Amino acid sequence: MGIPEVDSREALFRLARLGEGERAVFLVRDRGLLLVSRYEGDRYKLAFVDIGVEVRADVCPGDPEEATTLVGIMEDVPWQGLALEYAMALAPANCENGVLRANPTVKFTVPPEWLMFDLVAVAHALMARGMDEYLEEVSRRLGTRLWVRKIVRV
Amino acid sequence: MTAPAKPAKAERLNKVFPVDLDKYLPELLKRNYGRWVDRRFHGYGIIEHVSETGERVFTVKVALPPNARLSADTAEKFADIADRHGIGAIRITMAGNIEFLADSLEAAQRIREEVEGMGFPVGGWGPTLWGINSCTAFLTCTTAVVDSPSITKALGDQLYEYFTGEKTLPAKLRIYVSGCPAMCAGGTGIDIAIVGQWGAPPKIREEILSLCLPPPKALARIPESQVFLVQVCPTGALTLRREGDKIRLLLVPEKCINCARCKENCDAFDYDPENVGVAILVGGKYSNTGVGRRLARVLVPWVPAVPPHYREITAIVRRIIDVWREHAREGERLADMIDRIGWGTFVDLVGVPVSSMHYDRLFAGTRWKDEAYPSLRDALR
Repeated sequence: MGIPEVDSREALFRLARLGEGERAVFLVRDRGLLLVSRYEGDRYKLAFVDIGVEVRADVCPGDPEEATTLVGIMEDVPWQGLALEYAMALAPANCENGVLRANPTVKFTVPPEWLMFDLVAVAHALMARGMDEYLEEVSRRLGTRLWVRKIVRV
Repeated sequence: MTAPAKPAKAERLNKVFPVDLDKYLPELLKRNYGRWVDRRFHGYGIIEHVSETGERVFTVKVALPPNARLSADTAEKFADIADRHGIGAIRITMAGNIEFLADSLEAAQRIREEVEGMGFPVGGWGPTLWGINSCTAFLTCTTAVVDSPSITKALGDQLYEYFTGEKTLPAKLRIYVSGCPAMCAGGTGIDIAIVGQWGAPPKIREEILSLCLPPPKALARIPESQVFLVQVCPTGALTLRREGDKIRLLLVPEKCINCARCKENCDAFDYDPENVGVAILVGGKYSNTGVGRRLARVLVPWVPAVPPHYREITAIVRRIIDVWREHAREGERLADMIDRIGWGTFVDLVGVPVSSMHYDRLFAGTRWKDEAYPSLRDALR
């Protein structure tokens, strides 16, 4: 059975059903994001993988995800007065023959009541706003140029 | 030479806050302060407190309109009832009710009859609905998404019997309706919370937008990042586009998270008042009993808020209550029952569709039409 395809709003409905310790993976088709989630009783751990973008670098760090993780905080997200701590990383990553191939991913952990917000839109907005800056910083960290390929479904 | 006398402060400046607790207490309460030893209920709307002195006070709990909005005329009538039948004291509770104090059961019964005659329900103690809290919403708030008092009214009409005790519940029930996610008049530490949410990004009303922007010549010179309206958007969804010698402010819907910060800062941003909804959260409480304090969890992330009857919302709330009544043990709060039977079982029992298609269908062309409601309600059964 493949990964279920859902729209943004349905993804939230499915997250709302998760029991403690349960994990779920969805393809959010209207945003082009793979949503990996885990409910831990007092929080949701969420990762949104941009499957529409592939990043390549001619370098293979020992732990690519760790090496490319940058953390940030967005004030007034998802609502005025709140703040969202998030991380961006290249994950999942694949290193072969000294070449790193990975997708950009944004991750955040939120309390259960935050499911009232459109968290898929939040993840999408974080990517749309911060991706260029993030990739520039990763390039500087890795000490090499990055090749970014946009994957278009036809 | 002596220093000039210090001028006396105006009397109002000599006041010390807080005012002493007993300053305005009725004599009956002052005499028995801290000496209450017993209590008993007379139905679900009258509670009797017994002092070690042998004196007793009877309190009548009466539901107020949503957001505790009263006309001065009604407030005067209440004060008159408190003077004629009670001990001249009333109290507004945190659950949005009003309590009348009396010194005999007979007097309390007279208060009950009189306020019920005015159309106000009496109840709210024991295994009943203790009240529905509501924020003020559009009356005084600039952030409101839904009119929480009117949702409260619709819920109150549906759940009236649970307040008066004509139908009882497994334990106390508290509900809170918030006009927006700020939830400044309550929180999610409550059995059922209903929180307003915008359904789509706002539209820009071009004809008044210039009132929120610098003059055109200045706008042409300053960097985009220094334009106030660009700055207020936390996700960068607002951007300037130069078209010839004209500069336009654009909203990129893909970057918008409906936080309404732009609307807070400029009236040119119009959300669609018909495309609004609420999230419904369940299983919170501040009480230490049972499983202890906890915040509510989202059961339904989004359901349309359709005035005046808000049928979708009331259908879900009624369904939650029905499941609780059917499966709870005596005295078990909603949170405790969910904890015992498990979240998954609870969600299955309520029957919330895993797909949002029922909700989306409403927005696909048939929204706001009465014939669309039954299919949604059926989906919840």
